[in-house]
Amino acid sequence: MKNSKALCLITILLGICLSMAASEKLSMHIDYTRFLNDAHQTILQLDYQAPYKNLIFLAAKGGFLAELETTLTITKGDSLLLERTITDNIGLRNKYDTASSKSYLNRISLLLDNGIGDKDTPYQVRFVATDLNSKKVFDWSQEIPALTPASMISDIELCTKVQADTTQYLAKFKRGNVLFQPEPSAIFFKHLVSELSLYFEVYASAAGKERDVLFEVLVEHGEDLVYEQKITGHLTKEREGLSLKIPLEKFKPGIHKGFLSIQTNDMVEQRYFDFVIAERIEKLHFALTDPEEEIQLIKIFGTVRIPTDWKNMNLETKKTVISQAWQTMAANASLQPDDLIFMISDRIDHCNKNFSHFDAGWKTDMGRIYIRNGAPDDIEKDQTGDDTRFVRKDIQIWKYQKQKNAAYVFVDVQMSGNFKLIYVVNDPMENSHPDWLRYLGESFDTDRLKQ
Amino acid sequence: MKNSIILIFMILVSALNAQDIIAERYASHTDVWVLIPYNNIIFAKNAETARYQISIVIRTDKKKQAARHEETLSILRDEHLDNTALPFSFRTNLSPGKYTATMIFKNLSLGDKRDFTKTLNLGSEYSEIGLAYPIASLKNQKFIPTSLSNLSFPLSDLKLIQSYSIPADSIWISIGDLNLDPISGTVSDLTGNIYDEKGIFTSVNPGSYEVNLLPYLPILKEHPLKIGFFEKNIRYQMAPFLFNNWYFYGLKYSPREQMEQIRYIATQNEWSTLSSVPKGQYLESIDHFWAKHDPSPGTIRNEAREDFYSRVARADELFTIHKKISGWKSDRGRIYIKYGPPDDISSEILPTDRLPYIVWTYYKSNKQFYFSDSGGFGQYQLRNKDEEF
Repeated sequence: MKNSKALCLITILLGICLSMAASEKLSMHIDYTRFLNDAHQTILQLDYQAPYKNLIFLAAKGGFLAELETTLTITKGDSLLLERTITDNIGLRNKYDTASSKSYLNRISLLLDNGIGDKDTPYQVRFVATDLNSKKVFDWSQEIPALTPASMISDIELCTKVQADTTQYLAKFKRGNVLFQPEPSAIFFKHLVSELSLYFEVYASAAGKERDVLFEVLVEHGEDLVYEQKITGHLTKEREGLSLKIPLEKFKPGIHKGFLSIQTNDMVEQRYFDFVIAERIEKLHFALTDPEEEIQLIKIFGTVRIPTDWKNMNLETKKTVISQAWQTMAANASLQPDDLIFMISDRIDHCNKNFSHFDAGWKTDMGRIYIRNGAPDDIEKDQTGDDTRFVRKDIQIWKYQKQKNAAYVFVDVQMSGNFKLIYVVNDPMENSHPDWLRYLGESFDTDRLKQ
Repeated sequence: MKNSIILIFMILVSALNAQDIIAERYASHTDVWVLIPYNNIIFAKNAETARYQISIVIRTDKKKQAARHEETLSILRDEHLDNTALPFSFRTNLSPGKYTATMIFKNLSLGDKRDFTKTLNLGSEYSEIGLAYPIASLKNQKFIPTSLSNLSFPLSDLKLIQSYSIPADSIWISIGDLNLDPISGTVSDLTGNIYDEKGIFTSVNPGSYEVNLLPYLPILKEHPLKIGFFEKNIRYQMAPFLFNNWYFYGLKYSPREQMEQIRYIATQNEWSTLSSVPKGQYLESIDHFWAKHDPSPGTIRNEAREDFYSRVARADELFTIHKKISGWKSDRGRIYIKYGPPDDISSEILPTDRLPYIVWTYYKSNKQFYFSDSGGFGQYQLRNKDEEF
């Protein structure tokens, strides 16, 4: 009897758990922007963003796949204008991206036809996204009125990036050959984004195409006015796309309210925008304390591209670049970044202990090879022959089996214990000294480098 | 005379010989699995059991012995075991590198001896998810069945064994159709015990589990067994590793033939790389090719490779008309390997005014292939070669 009561209780609890699971919410972001086309009809642009870490991925088809089923419903008054279901297939190659702060971004663009119903009745837009693997649901609905045909300005699109790009990457977000990468979440990380870009379109009124305009941008943080800018311009086209950049360097973390007004002749129109400045949430990965030294360490591996404007970067950005480099290298080696850094730190310690001379051990030739390849499988210690121009010098031959039978010959040129790399085989990243025969002598048998 | 017949018989059997050695490397140990087809076991006349000695030696490239295992077995004679495989496993520790595993399989009662060599390439990364071995026992004789749905004879045990190195949050084992829902799936508790909604309970060591499937035999007859691993927001799904005819592949075809078969499916770029590989590295580059085409990342199992192997084996079974004209080399064999079994076949063996022909239709890819027998000896040749590419 007691047992059956307990069983009942368990069943009820399980039922509650299950019903909770069924109504679980998917966290993602959506934002809308309205523009006018040449016929002064409203184009609705819905941008949605699903962080990878909120989706469930299936290991299949040689990668990691998530499926996001999106249903868009638009009604006006009593009439259903649109109901459309599409499944977004999201595929990742790199396992570590699934848990990263990166996100999936997509856009739906629609023409809102003003011909149906009353012009002032807003459209009811409902967007439902379901992660098919976890059955988590994101449900968003909003009343969106059409822009009036006489509007001077469109809505404001908040972008993290506005840059020239001729690749097919994010093709939907391009205007000409320029990529406008929107941020529907409106969360901007200071260490990732140095300036916030506002994109908007300005339309000519009935008065004529030629006009002088005055833009005013204000950003408030709480009670304080943190940014103010006035721009004047002369526009000649009927429809002009403009982007304004707001530097984020001096902004403090928190919610910011933005305000853009446009003034032409006697008319004034305003738009508002909100955004959040956030601080770094993910953990930084680093092996050394000085970013300048660390970038030298990362260069040893030669697998990560170092940005060309490294010298002009601030400390925060440099730290981010380094952290991302470790993450990329760890993903290439199928390791966790911490494990990789632990392994490399071990090698650095070994180098500093054994190869240090005037400089730290890891910066020497031997240190470079040791850090990249680890301990050699075989070390041969010898002296140079008699037929060199110099007195007999110590040499070391390092052989690796794992690294495609790479082999290195180091010579203690100055006889100070600071060995220099003179001759190398099977390593495309290193060069032999052009005059290596002079150091090793004609009688040096290169077959000694074979495994 | 009698001896020579036995000798001929033994040679014939050795030709069918198909063992496999699988190594799964984890942080603390390396599991080596050896599978021997039951059909290769030779019993003395009227004997109930056969006594065998199995020894496996694993050597590094420098011929240095890295591991060794020896076992004496007495194998039960039972017709239910036909076509299954006998599993042996041992635990050792191997560092990353290239190894040669040599297995010697000696019949202690009759005296015949066979050996088998396989190269093992262990990468620096650990095996993320090993194979899920279903191990059945019949009168204490362990075997890997060909299917879990036709085990109608009385078994003394049926277990599912699998190891893994990923930090799995939970493991889900289900029989029957089930939605991917972590709540209804297996939940692993803090003591490492896993349960699932069908009540299968088992105790788990970190990194491996063992499930008793015997009580669920009746359900297994109707529903497939599925295994799922959850690691944060990634799910891995797989099926148990059953013994199959594609096992014969590695021994039936020489590395050169395997290379020629891969040509059927390799892209131009892949083939230009593969064709320049020296003879000695054929098997290694074939492994590399398949690693790139593995549909399930993380798992040791490569479903695409298994599918290809079973297609080659089936093409050979279906279209071989002479020892020297192998089925896989024929036009029909090539199409079979590339596109799988056709959805529809229509043929006329003795048409009055034309050559005998066969038409294969693939509805999904909207392809049709015409084969005609111009020689009159059953060597059907593809007529519309343009369709193939």
